[in-house]
Amino acid sequence: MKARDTDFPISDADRSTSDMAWRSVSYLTAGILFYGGIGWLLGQYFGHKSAFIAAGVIIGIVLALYLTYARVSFMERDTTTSDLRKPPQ
Amino acid sequence: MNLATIATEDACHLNSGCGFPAPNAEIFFLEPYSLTLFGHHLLISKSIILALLVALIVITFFVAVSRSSKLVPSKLQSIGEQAYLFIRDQIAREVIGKEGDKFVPFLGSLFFFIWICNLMGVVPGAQFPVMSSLAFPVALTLMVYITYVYLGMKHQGPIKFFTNAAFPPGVPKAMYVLLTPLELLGLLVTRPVTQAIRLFANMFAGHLLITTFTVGAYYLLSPSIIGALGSATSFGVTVVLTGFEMFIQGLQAFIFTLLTAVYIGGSLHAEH
Repeated sequence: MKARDTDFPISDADRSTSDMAWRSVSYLTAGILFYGGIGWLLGQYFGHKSAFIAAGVIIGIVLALYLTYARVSFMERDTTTSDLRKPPQ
Repeated sequence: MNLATIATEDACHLNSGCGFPAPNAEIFFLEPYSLTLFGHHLLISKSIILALLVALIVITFFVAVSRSSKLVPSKLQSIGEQAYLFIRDQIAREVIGKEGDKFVPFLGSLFFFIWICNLMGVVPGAQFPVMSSLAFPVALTLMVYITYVYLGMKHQGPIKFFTNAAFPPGVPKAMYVLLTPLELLGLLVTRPVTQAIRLFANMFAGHLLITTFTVGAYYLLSPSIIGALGSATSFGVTVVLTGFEMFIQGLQAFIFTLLTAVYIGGSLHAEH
């Protein structure tokens, strides 16, 4: 049976926004691991390891949140313009 | 040390003077069965036997359901159709979209294999969730990982797939230095790692919790008020937790499959 358009109630834009909820988890993990790791390396070199790790982890979280925010706001902008372009139903 | 030894050989009991024998991670490392097949000596663990059994159950079910499909479905066929429609409508079409239909077999196999494997944690006699052995979620995740990386490279181009992911839209160019590592690490490392660990840890924790209260019910059982009440409570909690665990088992299988669909969908549609 061939799928009809009515079988897909969710638009592509909505889909990518819901995908974002899952992606933010992987950003947060990546942010904490990557920048926490850099903090750990700097700590190995300069001393004050725990301070560097803490700073790295916080920077990682901030960047991950910023990335999530930037992506979602870009998506919303995208959706609004494409909605405006659509002819009225 | 498994549940049987805790309960019988050690026979730790409220009145026997030894402390509560709290089950630990050792209950997941069962003694493997040894087997000689065609002159080769093999060691087979319980989780492998259960996984093979589950694969057989799932395959038999879907073959039986689809073998004699009729326009007016029999009871068995309509159960099979509901199962198929659930994967197609709730996961494939909803998450991937129009191209979703061709991934229904893959997603369906994943969902039902994982779900029944998890369910083995509460099936009497089996009582071991296969996915609480880390190797199983890791193997499944590797399959998913290879699939979505391949699909991404195929649909977006081998280099485009990585550059599309590495340079997120809507971000000032200067931020790329800080954010690109996160995007790439997220795509290639944390996605598969979190997907595998989420399934493994949920099954591990649930099984440990149920075991703890089961052992507790035995440990406390004695002819005293504390013993009787404590044991009854512990047993009651075990029953409630088993119900809750069955819900979690289905949920985790669903989440694993949903994430697979999300990742496949992400590989098919490039973001711009």
